[in-house]
Amino acid sequence: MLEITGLGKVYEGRGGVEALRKIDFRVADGDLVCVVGPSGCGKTTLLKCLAGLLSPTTGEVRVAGRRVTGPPPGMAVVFQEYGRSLFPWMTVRKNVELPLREKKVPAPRRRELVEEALSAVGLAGAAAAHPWQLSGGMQQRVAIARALAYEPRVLLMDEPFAAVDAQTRAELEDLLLTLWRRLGVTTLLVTHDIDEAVYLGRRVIVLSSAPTVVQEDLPIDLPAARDQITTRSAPRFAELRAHVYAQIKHAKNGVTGGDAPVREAEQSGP
Amino acid sequence: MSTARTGRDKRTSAADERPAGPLRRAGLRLLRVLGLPVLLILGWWAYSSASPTFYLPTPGRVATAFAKVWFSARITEDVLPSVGRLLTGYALAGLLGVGLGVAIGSSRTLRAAAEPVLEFFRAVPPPVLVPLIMLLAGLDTAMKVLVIVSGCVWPVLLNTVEGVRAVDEVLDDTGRCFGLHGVARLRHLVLPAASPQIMAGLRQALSIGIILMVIGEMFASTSGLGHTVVLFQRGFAIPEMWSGIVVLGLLGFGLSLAFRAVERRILAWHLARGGERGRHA
Amino acid sequence: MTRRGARAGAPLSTPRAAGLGLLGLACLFAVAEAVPRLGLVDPRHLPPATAILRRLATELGDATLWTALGETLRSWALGLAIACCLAVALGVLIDAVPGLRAATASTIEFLRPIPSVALIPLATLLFGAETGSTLLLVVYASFWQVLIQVLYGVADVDPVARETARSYRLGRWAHLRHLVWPTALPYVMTGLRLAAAVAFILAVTAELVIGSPGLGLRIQLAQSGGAVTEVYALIVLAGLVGVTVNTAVRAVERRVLAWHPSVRGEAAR
Repeated sequence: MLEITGLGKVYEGRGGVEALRKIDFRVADGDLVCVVGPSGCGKTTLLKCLAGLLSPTTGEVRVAGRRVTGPPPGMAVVFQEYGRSLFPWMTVRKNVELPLREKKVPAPRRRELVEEALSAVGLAGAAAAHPWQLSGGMQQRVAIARALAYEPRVLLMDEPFAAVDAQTRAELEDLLLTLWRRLGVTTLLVTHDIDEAVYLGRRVIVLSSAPTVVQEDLPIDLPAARDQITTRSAPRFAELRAHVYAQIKHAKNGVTGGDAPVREAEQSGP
Repeated sequence: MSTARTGRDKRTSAADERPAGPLRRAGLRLLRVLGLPVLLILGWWAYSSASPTFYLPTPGRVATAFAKVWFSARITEDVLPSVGRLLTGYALAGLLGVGLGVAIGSSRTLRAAAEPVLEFFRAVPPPVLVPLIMLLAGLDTAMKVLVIVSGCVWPVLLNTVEGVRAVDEVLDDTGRCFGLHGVARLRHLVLPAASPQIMAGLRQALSIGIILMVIGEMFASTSGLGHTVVLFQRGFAIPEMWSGIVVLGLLGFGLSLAFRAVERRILAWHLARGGERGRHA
Repeated sequence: MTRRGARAGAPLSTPRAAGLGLLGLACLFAVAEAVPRLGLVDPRHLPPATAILRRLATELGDATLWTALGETLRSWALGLAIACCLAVALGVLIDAVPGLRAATASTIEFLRPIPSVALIPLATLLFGAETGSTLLLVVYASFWQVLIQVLYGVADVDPVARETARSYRLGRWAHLRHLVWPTALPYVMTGLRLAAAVAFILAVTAELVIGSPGLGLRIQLAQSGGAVTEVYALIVLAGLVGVTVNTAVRAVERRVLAWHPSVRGEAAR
């Protein structure tokens, strides 16, 4: 579904910062893949290249066999900054509906999709509210509902739960798993949280520090049904978690990552 | 915090205030709104009747003059045409400013190239255009409107450019991911996002528009509000002149009320959110 | 392809932006030169840009122009200073006396939108064609700009900071000096910036309409003498002075508020 081959990105400007060196991986149809890496390793750059928001310097991205040159149809993105990604001048309903209008979905079907998506994330009652009247967790649910209503074939998420509190985060993680299982949409989730990556992913892709390459592509052999308490306390979970953690630590101490740990706190801020 | 506050309020206010009924509260509100204006007018009255000066007639005489002068054909001959020209020029300037502003604000290159030129035009005091335009073409209706347009357009234009430039990056990315482009992008993303800035520009433009309307008429016209007021002043018809000042004041006040009503409607989402930096800008 | 990553919101590098800005000015100049030369507009109505600039150069060699400019700037500065002091004093007073804000709100809301040009006849009667007329208009117009911002500013004092100050038993003066004033300062500077532009407009307007000495009067005289080129030259001068005034006030604002996050953020961007 998603093929990334030889992807590299160098930012122009003084000296030219090499954010991504050479990224190769593919995501099968209906898979759920988490990408983790040390802070400042270019996770967001990678995601923007996948979403067609940035054009790569080298290599290419293909979605369902077609080369990405701009935001491809059938792809939805959920950003970390829910407060900035929802349209503050529209109600929740209008926010979810807008992309469908652009897709020229007929009105009755549109209404159906909006209702479905909102009740799927448990926000059926908040349709008439404005996003800024809701809590952070609820706003991110709206963003997820908007992505779902769009009926995407690929769902990209950029640290979607980094800016909400720990309890909400656990709830949203489970919500995502439920929806993914129900809809089977190909999902790629970028995060800096190792626990989250192992808990959610069928596969975890560990990135090195910048200039970034894929450090490891790790299948997660945990049972498909996951649960915040039992899964997280399973010995296998701890093993996998420790393994990924070691990989990232290795990546940080590896080639260049001298300044990486300092940024951690800033990254997770709202 | 709210419990702490009510606790303190109770302690301090229980002694001197019985529980206020709705009537009493309405009375207090009325007193707050009207108290100072009434005091000021009374002061004016007392001062002007105690020491009768030529330039400061009593409010009574101004009110009489007001009724005599303005409740007449003057309303249709002087006031309404003036206001009509003002609104026409203002609307044209708004359309022009927003249109050009969106175009310029959407391109970095264009913006960088246009910025110094725009800064220059904004800094030219708009009233100096009046003698210029008079010199070129006299002051018929079209020219008076042109004066207003040429003065009002800059604040709208500059603010629109700034508002469009500052459209949130994440919001823009979101729009692009969901295939928002062309007219829909303008309508659903760029214009609403820039609207607080655009409204700020329109507010500045409104007061400039009134100034230009009055000056255009004072300078070179045989009709209109500004002309009439200056005529009274030259003829030393002092109460009438004061009544003209009052009319201009009421016009400014009325237009600003209307503007605020429109603004409240358009920016409801923005104001309810706390207006962010709106009031600081 | 590569341009797609470059977004409209991001600033260009400084030399490129400056280059483009110069290019824009050059374009304006070229158009203003070409249009009358090609006969698209009667050169009597719009003289070529070179003629306007040449005229401006001659004017700048004339000592009386500098006197006029001095008059205008003096009225501007003096009026602005008076308006600022009055507005800050009144704003702080309204904040300090309980109930005063509510009592004055309606009056302020009514007086503020009154166009300052409405006072032109009154100014003419009281002061005639003298600097006093200019001052009256300048003070009136800029006073409201500053007052409104001061009122926002003093209301913006953090409640927690207020409680803290009370718990440390800060005196009235210390409260004003260390709490109210620093909070209100950015607002005062915003008011000052807005007022400075308005004050310059009103200074020129008053001179133009009432005939008090200054740049505006000179424009009016040139106009009644039919000297089109001179009118244009003086308008260009007025624009340049306006740009200078705006830039200067912005520089002062940045300097005074160097510690303030809004300015720091702007500088860092």
